[in-house]
Amino acid sequence: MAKDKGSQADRIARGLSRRQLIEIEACSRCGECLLWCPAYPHDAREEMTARWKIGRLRRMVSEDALPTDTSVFLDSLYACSACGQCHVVCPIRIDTPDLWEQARQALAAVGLDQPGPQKELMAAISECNNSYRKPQSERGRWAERAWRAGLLHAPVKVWVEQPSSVLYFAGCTASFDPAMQPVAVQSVRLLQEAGVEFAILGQDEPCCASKLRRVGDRLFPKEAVKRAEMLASRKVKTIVVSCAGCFKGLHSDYRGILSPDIEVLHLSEFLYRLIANGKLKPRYAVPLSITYHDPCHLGRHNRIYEEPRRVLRSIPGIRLVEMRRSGPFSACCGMGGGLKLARPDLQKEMSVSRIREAEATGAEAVVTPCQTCLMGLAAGTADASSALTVFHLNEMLVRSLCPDVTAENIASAFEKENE
Amino acid sequence: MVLVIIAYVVYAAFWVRLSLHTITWLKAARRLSPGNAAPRVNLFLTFFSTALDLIFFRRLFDSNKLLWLGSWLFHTAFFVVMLHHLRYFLEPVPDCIVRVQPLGVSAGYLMAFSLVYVILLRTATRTRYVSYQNYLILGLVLLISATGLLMRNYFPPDLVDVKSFIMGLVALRPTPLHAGFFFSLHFLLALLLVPFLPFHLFTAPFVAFEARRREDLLGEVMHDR
Repeated sequence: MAKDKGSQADRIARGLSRRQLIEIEACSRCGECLLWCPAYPHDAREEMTARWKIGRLRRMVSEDALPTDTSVFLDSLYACSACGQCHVVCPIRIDTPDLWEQARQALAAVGLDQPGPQKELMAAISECNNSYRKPQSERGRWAERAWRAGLLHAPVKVWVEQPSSVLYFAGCTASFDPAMQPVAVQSVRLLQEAGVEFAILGQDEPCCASKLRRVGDRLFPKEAVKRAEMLASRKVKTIVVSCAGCFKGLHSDYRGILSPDIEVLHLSEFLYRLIANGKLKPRYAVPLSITYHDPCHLGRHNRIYEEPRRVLRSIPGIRLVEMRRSGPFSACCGMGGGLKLARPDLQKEMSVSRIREAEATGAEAVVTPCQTCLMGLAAGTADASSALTVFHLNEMLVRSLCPDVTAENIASAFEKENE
Repeated sequence: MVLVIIAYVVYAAFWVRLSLHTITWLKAARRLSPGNAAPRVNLFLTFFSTALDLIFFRRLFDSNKLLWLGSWLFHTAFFVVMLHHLRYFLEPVPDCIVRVQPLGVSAGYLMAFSLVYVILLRTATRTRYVSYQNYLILGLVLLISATGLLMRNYFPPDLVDVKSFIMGLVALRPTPLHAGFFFSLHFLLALLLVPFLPFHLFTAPFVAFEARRREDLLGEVMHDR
């Protein structure tokens, strides 16, 4: 039992919530977590399992001492994408993703810091307001370029000039990564196709800071409050987010912080709403056999399983086949929770493994509504020398609605502009 | 007399441990989340859903149906066997406990068989995921169950003696035990099980309730459903 008030172990215990202290007592070490963990088959050490990590936390709290293998514990805590599969299969539903994130924060608070690459990520967000270390002035440039390249029906409005009923939040990846900018362009084009009145924040769009929470940065609550206040001051009512990570951030991590008057929707939910209301009507056939990959932040963490599938089913010609593991049991591609920074080898194997599972369905392509999963799975196809193609959900819809803005066309239009 | 001392040590250790843990939980600072209050959910519905989750092991049913079958049968049988055993702790024995007695005997067999099924299933899985602690607990319960069935069928103890021994322990006026080797072994094994079981049993309902409440809260902030 933690008796020494100033000890590291006692401070770690105090860094966990009351619920979490009870949760670490509740684990019966049954091993269901191990059986389903997507990382364990690639690093089959007991230290990788949720039950081992919970056991170490329990020992810290009950014996008021750090275990002698603290470095092993730290490694195992970060060698995890916090995908939440162990939470889903836990018979008593210990909230493991939240526990890992809070434990990372509690350990960092006593000097047991994040691995180097994750600290670099935290520094980038804190110094540049994005994880790419790019100037904020470049954040909304994708929209201007898309308009100049003739990829949009109208220029995208910026909130400060014209507040709107809907805010489209592109996120750092789709704003700055040239390979992912088509996701942002396609998102706004689809909103225009549906006649939705919307705006973007442009250079005022902040990083959602959810990555800080993922890696256990103590600054997260403070940073989240700042962003929530900014959104409230702009009188935002509906935020549509195309990134699953930002969605988890704004929708789930900001709960209790963001005004309850602000509705946060993932793009796939919003698109489905538009299709259901008849505002978007997929028309051209997309003759493709596809399988759908559930992003952890959208599926297990926020229970959005059906809407993206309904969007896909609304597109004529598409044949949707499910992988062996789908929905709440979907295997993680390893791109979340800072795993790619801590253990790139493990992330790569997890991606390859997911691609193999997709290949087994006989589908021609994998579709996902998350650009981070898209990056991980696309790299996985290359590593696995797979013939599969990985697409963003937007790509399927634009092929059926506005085929002039396929990802390929956008990339080539942007390249021409660069020349 | 040794059994009596062990029983009181286990009993005292259990309460000391529970108290110390409770103090830690109470002291632990609740993580502060500034800003607005989260939406509220109907706690009665959450409680009801949690009860169903726990009674029917719904999570395990979703993830592992073969294990669920054995596990659910085992826990249900275990519960009935516990009810059956209450006759040794209560005087007069309530009517409902008297009525459960015939069922308790069948549950004793079911408990042993389902436990063997669970152990076989878990050891036969390609991924070796059973921990030593799992084996220890499962083995202990299996031995307790086996000694109980042996007493039931081949080596019946003097039930009057057993009851006066248990009642003496409960009333803190221990009496000597003459019930024989198998009862002593059965009782000792049950005492050994106590340090491994309590916190999982006490904390699991709270954890499951909290998980369900948070899931319901998620429903409150979701749309289109």
